[in-house]
Amino acid sequence: MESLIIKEGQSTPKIVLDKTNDKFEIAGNSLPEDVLGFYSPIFNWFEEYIKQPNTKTELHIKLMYFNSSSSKAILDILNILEDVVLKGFAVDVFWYYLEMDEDMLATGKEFEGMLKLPFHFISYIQD
Amino acid sequence: MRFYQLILLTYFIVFKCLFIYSQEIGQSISDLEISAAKYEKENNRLELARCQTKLGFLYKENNNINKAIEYFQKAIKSNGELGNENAVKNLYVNVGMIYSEKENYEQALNCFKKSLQINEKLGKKQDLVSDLINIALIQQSMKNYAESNQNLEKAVSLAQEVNDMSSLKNSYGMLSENYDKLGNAAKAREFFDLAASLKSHIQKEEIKKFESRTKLAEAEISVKDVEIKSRDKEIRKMTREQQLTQELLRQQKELSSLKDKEFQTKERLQEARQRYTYLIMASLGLFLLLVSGFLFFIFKQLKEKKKAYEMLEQSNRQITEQKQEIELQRDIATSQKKKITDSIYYAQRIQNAVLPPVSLIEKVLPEHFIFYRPRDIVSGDFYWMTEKDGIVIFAAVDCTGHGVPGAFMSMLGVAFLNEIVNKITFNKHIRSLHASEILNQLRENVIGSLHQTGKANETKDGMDMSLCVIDFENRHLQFAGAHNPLYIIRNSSFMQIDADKMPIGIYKTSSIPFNNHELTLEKDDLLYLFSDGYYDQFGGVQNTKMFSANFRKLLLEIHQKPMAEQKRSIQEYYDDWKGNREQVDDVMVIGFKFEPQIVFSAVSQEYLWSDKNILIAEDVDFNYILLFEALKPTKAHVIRAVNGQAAVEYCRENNVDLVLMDIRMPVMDGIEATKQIRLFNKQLPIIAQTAHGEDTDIEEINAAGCNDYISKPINLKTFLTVIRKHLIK
Repeated sequence: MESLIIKEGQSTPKIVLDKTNDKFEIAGNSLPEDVLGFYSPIFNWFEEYIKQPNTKTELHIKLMYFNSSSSKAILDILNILEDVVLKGFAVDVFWYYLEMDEDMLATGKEFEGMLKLPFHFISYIQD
Repeated sequence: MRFYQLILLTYFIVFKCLFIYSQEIGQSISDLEISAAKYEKENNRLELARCQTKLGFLYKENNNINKAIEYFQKAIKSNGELGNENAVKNLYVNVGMIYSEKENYEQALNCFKKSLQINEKLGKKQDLVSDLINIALIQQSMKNYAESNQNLEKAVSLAQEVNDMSSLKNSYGMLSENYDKLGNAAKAREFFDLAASLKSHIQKEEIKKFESRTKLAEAEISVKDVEIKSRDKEIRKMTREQQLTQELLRQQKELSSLKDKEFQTKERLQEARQRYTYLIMASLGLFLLLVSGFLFFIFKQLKEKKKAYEMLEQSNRQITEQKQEIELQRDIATSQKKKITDSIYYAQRIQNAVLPPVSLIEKVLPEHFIFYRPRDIVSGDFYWMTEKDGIVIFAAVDCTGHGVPGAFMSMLGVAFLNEIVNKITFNKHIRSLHASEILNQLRENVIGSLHQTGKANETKDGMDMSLCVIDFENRHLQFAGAHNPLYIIRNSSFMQIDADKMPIGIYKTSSIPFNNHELTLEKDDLLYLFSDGYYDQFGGVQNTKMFSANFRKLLLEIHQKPMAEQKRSIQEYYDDWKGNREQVDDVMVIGFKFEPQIVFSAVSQEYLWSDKNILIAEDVDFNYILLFEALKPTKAHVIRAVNGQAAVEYCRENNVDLVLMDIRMPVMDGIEATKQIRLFNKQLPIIAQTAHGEDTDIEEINAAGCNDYISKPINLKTFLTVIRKHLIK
């Protein structure tokens, strides 16, 4: 399956979806003007991925800022991944937040509460 | 002896070559003999002579001397008949040379003499010199030295006449040899010296001639060399070839200077001379090649230059055209941008118009501030408020997106909120309204109107919001939130009422109702509502988000300041944090201080009727409660009569300032009761209550003696205004 790599943009996060090398990452800021336009190919990629997922999927989400429509898009992605867990594959979500960013942690906790996915919260310090 | 034979041979070969080159080569002897026989038969003397001459040469080549002589003789005859004496003379020389080779000197002499006779006749002095030398050569071979010398003397004088140095030198050489044979050493020596000096003279002349030619060539070459040097490698390579040629020429020159002084080397000189000529020719040819190459190069360059220039011109034209096009596009874009911007500015006016008017907020919440800064001209953030019967509903809403799409959502939000609150209060008293039900209904409306089903590839739009319902009289606060919490600062301590972790819009949990939070407020409580745009702003030293913690810290620091100053601090803190960075999102922070008396004080001056007795004639308990509650802030004394009869009796016996008369009542209806009251009290203000949808005759009400009427459900403001009008009269 082809990888989906998107470089970090002015208002869009870096996307690394590489099945072969077991790399799944969303990082940066997400506030695109056209949220659907940006996330549609990512949804499509995941829809394709869950047909034949890896035995273990580790999704790393390291976002500094996302607007509310992006947050719904990320939730949709996690929803898709939930199906992988239901099929019996392992999925882990690594939710990174700046040590002082309790809002980001709270959003992660909110998602965790809504999903049947194991979340791992990792705080980091701004470099 | 060999030397002279070689001269003759050279002569012969040259002649033969000339001949052969003028004719077809490779024709076989037999073919030619057939042709000759044919021409003879046809009496074609010219072609016959040619065939015979050719055959002579071919036989000579094949060493068939007799046949060669035979054909040459035939050719002489044929040419003689044609009167072609030049050909005859040359043929005699050829035959003479064959005889000479065969040492048949008599015949050879004969032939040369024939040639001599013809040349004498034709007056060809140069050829005569050759003939004389040939004759002398044969005579020398016949050891007939004296006769040879006689002919040589003639040749000498003729050669001098025609300035034929080469023949002169040859003649002197032969004379020297002849005298040597004759034993005249002095003469031999004399002629030898003459021949030697001539030889050296000739050599010098040759060299001089060659040098001048070389110099000319060199001069021209050096001129070209300069030009060529500035040319590319290929031409330089050619120049190197030219230099090589010059080197070769120089070597040849050296070679010639090293020429043996001996007579035997003479022919080599001649060959060299010929070669020099070839070399000069070759160098001239090369030179011409260079010049033409150079010219071609220049021409090509000029052509390329012209082409490049044309291309440049064309691209210039294109650039100009493109520039014009771009300018046109820019103008279009500018005018379009202006149109769009103008239109957005107009949209901003509409958006501002639908925001609660300042006068209303001032009236209800005198101690407040609103920091509202759209990222673009119009905003996805908006605030909304309404006031009904002493209840204030205040919402701060953050729609997804900003700018125009955000503003679209905000208009939807305002319209829905108005509709929802109107609908709820139409059906029940505003006091029984719950903050959470507004959010629940708003969510339903948003999902429904945006046709959201929850699929990944559809609009994610929705709203985050915080909504307060404040009952000023009872100091009662209700709060419901979608993602956005409510901050309260009471006695300098911070309180937070959490919002539900879900938006107004489709969500995984959008079937779960919102929570309704309730709290009793205290005087001077500070309430803050906001969107996340404020503390999500990037900035500061490390270019991070501000984070809500810093926002709360700021609020705690400034909460004791007057509201206007709080606003200024919040604004300054934001601007300092943001610096030159782009605004991330729409920003909205609203704060107000809870003052429980505010609503009452607003009505108290004009609407404080603590000394008034108001009778409510109303049979339905619920309707009575509504009216009672509406009058409660006025502190008026309210009495209830459950039907018209009771109302009439109460008015007869008690001091009543105003009656609110329901029309449809059991026992005695409102119309009858009013008529009866008017029998004993003409002044008492009686206000009829009519219900929506009831077919009530206003004229009948007026005829009965009612002063005015109100419609149920009542509008608090209208209600109080109407009552005031009749109470204060």
